[in-house]
Amino acid sequence: MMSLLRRWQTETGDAYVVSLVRVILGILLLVSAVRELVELFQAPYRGDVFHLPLVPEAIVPSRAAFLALVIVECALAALVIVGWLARPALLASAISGIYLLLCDRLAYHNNRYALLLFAWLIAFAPCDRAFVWRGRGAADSDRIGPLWAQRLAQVQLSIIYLASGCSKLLDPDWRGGLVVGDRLVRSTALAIDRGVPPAIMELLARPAFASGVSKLAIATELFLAVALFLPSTRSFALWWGVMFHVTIELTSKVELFGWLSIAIYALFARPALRERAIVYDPDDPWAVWLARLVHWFDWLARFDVRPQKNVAGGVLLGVIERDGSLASGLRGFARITRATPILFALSVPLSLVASVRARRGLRS
Amino acid sequence: MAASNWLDLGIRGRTLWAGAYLLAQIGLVLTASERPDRVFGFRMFNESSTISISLGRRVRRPDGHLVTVPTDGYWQARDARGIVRDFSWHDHVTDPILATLGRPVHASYGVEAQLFRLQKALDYVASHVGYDGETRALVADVDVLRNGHDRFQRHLESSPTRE
Repeated sequence: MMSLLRRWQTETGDAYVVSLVRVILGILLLVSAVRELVELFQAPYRGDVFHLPLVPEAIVPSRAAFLALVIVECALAALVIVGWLARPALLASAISGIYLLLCDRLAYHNNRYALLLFAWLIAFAPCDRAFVWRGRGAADSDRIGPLWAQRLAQVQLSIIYLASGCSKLLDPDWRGGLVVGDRLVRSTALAIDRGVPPAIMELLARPAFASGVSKLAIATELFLAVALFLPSTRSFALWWGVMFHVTIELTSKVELFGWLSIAIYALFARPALRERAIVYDPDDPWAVWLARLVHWFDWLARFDVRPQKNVAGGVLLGVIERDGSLASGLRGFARITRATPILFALSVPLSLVASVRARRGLRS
Repeated sequence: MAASNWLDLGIRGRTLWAGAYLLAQIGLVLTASERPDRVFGFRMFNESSTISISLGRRVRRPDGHLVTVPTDGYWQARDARGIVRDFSWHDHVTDPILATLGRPVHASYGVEAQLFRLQKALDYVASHVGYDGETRALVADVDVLRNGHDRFQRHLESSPTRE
């Protein structure tokens, strides 16, 4: 335990990925601030009508002060995105946002609160060392910084999963499937209107199905809270978590929470860059094009993409893993999807297919 | 870019800071049940419940008895000088759940959260209709369906308006 604490206190690593996460947080903060602006012009200011402050009423801002604060929030979010004074801007965004949440608990939403907590935490990470607009690209060694705040953000995500999963587990209505069942029953008419066959909705509305989905949701949240931290389960947990959040995004209104969680997942990537390599035959236009495509979508800088004549096994494009093993074809593609955010959803199915094919190949 | 920043904490600072942060977060999560709307507790999708709010006004009849008069959120009443004025629940309450009267609406964050908010809303509106010389209190009869199986009614009443 002490060694774990010591490691957390002193661990350093490349700040490239946390800087990318900073940009995404900036975009989400901007979206959130713009939504506040739009709401302000579409409806009465909430401070002028019924509201429930957690702070003394005297410090709830007037409409004009609120407008000024939200405009400042937009400016701060822009600074976070471009990377200028990004860390103080993140901290100021978090403080301002939490203050406004405290001014009216009717406006409280878990996803907005979570975004502010992550902004708060990432402000303490060296997240201004890459993705800086008009900044000179930092040398690799200049990007190295302490990882403690990034690790704390990971723990914060775990706390959210634990809080949500445990509260559902302790609630008999949730465990038994009544909450999910009722949601499904109430969404039946809407789903049928949108073209879902009635037979499918009948199946989904069965108590046994709702009970199974409830247990799966609880197990998922508790699993993610732990499995994201274990090297042996991390990759699958990230994939399962992405599927979980995408499903929730498609079926419920959760504002930004799904995208926020997926952005925070990037912090679970190893800080070191380009530990894997893509080698390709520079004389083959198809291989050159594919290598360029991988490079474009390699947002986490996982691959060192380099031309190489006479790649082992005569392949046109291969993926060299951290352990030095080379993969091509379907297995190689599966490895690329595992490290490429936009293709990540395909990683587990492709890895399964590739491994089944490899076993069959061995047998034959 | 790698210049030191005032947000770069030393070993002792980061340890104390992180300890305090985690204690606060865990404390907020563990005490969420004590807050009716579970704020800061990350209780996602905690219920699938609906509430239907029927609003009424407590007014005094000429014989002195208090009776409840139903309202759709808009009403007229005389002020202290006898002038008839218009009043509206919706001028004061814009929250999409609490502003929906007479039909079921999803109780976001759970029934307890919405009943807590509704009680506060009744008190707020009752204290902001100063020109209404007839309404003695606002009442709400709430038809609750919790998680699709538990149906019950709850009666809420505001603190008295100025008489």
